[in-house]
Amino acid sequence: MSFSVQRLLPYATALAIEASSSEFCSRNPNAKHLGVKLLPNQLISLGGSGLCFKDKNLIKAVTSGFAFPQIFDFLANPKNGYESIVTLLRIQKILTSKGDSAEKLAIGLRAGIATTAAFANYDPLSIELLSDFENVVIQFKVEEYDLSLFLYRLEGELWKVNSLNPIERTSAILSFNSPLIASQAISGFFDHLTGIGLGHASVSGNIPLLDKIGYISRLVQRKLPSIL
Amino acid sequence: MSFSHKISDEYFARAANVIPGGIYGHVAPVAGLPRHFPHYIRTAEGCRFEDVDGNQWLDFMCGFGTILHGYLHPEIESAALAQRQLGAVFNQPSPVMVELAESLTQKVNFADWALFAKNGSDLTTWAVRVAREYSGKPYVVKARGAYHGVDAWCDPGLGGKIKEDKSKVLEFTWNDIDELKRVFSSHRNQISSIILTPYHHAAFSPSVMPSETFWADVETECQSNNIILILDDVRVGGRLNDGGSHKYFDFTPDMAVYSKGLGNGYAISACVGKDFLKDASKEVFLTGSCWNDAVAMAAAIKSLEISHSENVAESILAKGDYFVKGMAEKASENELPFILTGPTSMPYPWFEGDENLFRIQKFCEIAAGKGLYFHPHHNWFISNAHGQNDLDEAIELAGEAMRDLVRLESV
Repeated sequence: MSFSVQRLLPYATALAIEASSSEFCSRNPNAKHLGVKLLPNQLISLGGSGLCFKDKNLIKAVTSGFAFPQIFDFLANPKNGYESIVTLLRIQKILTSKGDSAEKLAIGLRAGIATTAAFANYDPLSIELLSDFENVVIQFKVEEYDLSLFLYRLEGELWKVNSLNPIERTSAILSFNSPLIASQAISGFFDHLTGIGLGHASVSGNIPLLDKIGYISRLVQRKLPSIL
Repeated sequence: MSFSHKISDEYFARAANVIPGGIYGHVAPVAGLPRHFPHYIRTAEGCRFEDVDGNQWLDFMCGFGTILHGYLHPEIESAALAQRQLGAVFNQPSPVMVELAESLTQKVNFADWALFAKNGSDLTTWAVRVAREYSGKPYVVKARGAYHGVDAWCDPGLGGKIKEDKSKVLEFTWNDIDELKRVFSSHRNQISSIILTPYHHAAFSPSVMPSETFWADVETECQSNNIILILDDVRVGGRLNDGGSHKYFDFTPDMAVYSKGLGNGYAISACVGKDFLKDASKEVFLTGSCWNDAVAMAAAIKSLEISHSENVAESILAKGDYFVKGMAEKASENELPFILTGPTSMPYPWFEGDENLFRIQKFCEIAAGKGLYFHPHHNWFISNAHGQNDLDEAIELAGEAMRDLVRLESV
């Protein structure tokens, strides 16, 4: 299914769910991974057959916490659909829980970075901003939890997110000095300019690259729905 | 040595409540070394400053180039004070405006007229519009990555943009005359001007000097295509030649814009031009609330006078040569691939192989701990207040910072 930029918001939302499920599965090996498939007729499936949403309902599901999936898809594969829903609910529970934990931060951060990657790959403005950057890796760190995630683009490939650095070389580092600051950043309540000035976070390395990725991530936060 | 930034941080925290970003623009903490440079400075004199926490710094940024003769230069401050006692802004300009225009047209060899504003951007944009008015052609050409100010057609920032902002701007790679020729020929009779800095001084990358034939080729191409050549001498003006950077590189622009060093810290910019553009210049509206500020003009007159009487450009180039040589020796002693690029009076620091800037950032962090204000992402500036002792001290401290860097990297 070829991607149309009109579907960027639901697709980026779905990719955030997929990324959060990747992180969740790495900590809960028996959980179901919610891989995304973009389907015709404004439909997106999560975790294979059984759980499928209309584009607009997927966004509604994220903003309100609930939306009806496509009933025929669920009936076609109820077991798979049920497992996917359970995973979704477990992730939702973690993300909306009070306080911070390494798991919550890792899931939230990975979902947030995945949406930035989606825009970097498919939003025309973001593509243009990043056109000079290839074979680059940005490391996102949360100091106290020793947590690192990597947003990268290798030659000829799309932007991707992973918990491992694929090339053992980092182009730039954004480091949150505490889980609270990282949590604020995920929720969109972190002022990057004053926060860095006051030492709540630090940046090093390729600042022009970080500058552009930061701008895109704030663009994403303005445009995309959030569960938080 | 570890500097306290307690008071600086307190001011910044207050600023964060009432000023978007706390501090904005090129001096925003995020653009420098946020936890190593102070956010606020209390005072400065000569080539040294004191931050709000009382820390003493040996400066190599000179107010990002606005200081050419040294902070609080006594003669310039006296001239400014004398004018301030008469007043700064009136209903009509002060006579110092005429004197400053006369001074510039005498000192800049191709200049038949001069006018004034406050910032470089005010007049780079205006000069582009004058060229359009003269030629009736819409396009302007610039070098890729070159900075010409904060207006929409050239602003390097990311926000608040629409495609149309740059729809009449064409770019080529600095020193690539073949590409420039292609740009000119692909938009024949549609280009009014080309705006260029004397050499390529982009941020976050080493400075690039013009090739031996670059300026002659640019002049030739401009003449054969009837394109106006605008020199953006905002940053460099007064630092290579007292009569303008075009003299250093031996070419003649049609207009030139100056600002940073012109008023030695007093806000003023100037555009000078050839006689054939005078009529067009009258048609392009130009004004600003405090642009007739006589204090800044009085400071600029004195600053220009000193530049000429003391051969300041020559002097700071010689000081720069000494500094760059000393830094190269320290780098060699420590087996570091550290180079200072661009003219020696405003050298840009670079570690070969450090495209992602981690090493230069670490070096400047260590240097900051020794009281050296070395910026990791911008060219440095030597002022005429930097004396031999200051440069020797800086070179010694930089050598220590290099040793510390090597030690740190070997762990």
